[in-house]
Amino acid sequence: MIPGPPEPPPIASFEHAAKWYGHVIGLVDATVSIGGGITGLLGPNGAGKSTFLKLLTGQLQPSQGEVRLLGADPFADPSVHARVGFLPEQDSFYEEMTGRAFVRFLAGLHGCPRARADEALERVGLAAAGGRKIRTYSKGMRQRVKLAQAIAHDPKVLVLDEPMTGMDPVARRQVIDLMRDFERRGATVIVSSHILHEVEAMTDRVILLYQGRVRAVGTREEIRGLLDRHPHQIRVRSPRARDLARLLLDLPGVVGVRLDDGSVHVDTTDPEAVYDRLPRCVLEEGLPVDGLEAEDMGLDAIFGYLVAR
Amino acid sequence: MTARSFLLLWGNATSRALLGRRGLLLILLAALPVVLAWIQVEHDTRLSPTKFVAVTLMFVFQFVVPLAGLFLGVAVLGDEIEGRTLTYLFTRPHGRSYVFLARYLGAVTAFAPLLAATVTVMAYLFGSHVNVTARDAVATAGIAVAGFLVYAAFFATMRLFLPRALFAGFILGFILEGGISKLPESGISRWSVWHHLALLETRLFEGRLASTHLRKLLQGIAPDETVGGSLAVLAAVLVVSLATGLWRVRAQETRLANAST
Repeated sequence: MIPGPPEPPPIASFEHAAKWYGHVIGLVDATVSIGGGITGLLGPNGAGKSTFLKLLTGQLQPSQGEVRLLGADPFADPSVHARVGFLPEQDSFYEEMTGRAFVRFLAGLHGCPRARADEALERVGLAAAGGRKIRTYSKGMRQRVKLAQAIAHDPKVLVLDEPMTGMDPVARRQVIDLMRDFERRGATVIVSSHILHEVEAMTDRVILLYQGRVRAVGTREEIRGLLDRHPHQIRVRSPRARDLARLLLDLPGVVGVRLDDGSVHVDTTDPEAVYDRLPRCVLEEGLPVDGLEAEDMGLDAIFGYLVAR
Repeated sequence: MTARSFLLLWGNATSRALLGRRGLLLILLAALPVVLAWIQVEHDTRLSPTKFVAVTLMFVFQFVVPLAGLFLGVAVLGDEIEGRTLTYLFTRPHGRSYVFLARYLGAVTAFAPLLAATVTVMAYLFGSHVNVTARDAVATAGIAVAGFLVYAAFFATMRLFLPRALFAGFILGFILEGGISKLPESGISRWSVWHHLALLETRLFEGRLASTHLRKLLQGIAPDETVGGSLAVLAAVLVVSLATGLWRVRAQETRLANAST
């Protein structure tokens, strides 16, 4: 057998990494690898997201374990930052500077010419306001400046800590489009948020953090699959919901059905059996099905299960 | 770390050093000795001109120099830590120690010419009344700048260890140093930076007009103490302070980040 090509090394990895601040735990025994594409870092406030990202960007040194970014120790080897762009969570600036001067200064530290900084401001939609002092900016504009300084040097890895805070829906859309653009160009984007639907809109690959621990890693489906203690919920809409419910109840793995306004809500530990059976219900039993949706594939449902575990 | 990055950091630190209320305070502080000298020259005061020179010089060395060193020293990285902007600088492709060094040099570059100019103008104003030569003026400016560099380096490093370095610096720079310098017999006064600045200044005016008054003010300078010895002490404090700061910022996490996890 001819061996396949070797797996590419991860862009970032945590090996039993832990961080504590005196008696306060920031992150506990995190082991996780992050590959290309967009990865969402999800957790409530205080879950350890910022600690995770500060370790990843070399601002903090792990108390235990190892963190690698692009094959290097980001705390000890500053050269790795040449390929990394970071948007911090905190609302901190040189307030007396103009947005343009701020981005030019920070891009200059990467060796970028001023034109690159100006391009970055253009990309985030802040070219026109670039000449104003940062202290006069709205919250959304301040987020855009932070984003511009993170992307000006065209990084291979973009690390964004709560980038959507304070942004209006249009700006949020633009940020997501920008992240997707980076992904298309082969970059890795790691983005944190405590808002579930925000992460869902960006990516389906997530790292779930809670109380300083990595609770789950993978796609939403993979994570949901890990939670086999909890039955999957599927909603099937049909004008003959009662007849459909009777049939579905006989399927293996179905632990309960509930009727509700022309819909059957099915609780099952074997969702594939339900999905297999439904076409036959339509074809063989003549039962019409108007719609089908997995009710608890949202990150909020998954997160609720994980926290309860 | 490219020279361009270093220059950018240095330039940023220089332009920010004299901004805002702190900048205004430092400019006023630098201007004060000149104003005092002008008052003495233009209007008769109770003090004799030579004594006034001595008093004004002591004001510069014992007050202006350490205070400017304290204000600008603690701000070298302190401003970035408190403003949480250090995150931007520490996530760039240069060593953390370069940030510290570039910002220190930027801060001292901003104020040192101002201090040198103050002392020179002061000497020019006094020149017509007392025997202060151009060489004296340049040397005195050099001593003041040297003291400022030492204090700034010391307090910049102190800020990396103490969050409330400004408060601690006041105690150390004024109460402790002042107290130590009042203990000449024990020899403990030699442990203060101020003592060595005063010694250099006293030696500069040795055997001349202002020296008598300076000597009265500078009790505790022993005959065996030399200019070379004091320069060595000041250089040692400067080098050790900067080396400690560079080590601290490179090897240790500075509390640059907010407390949120």
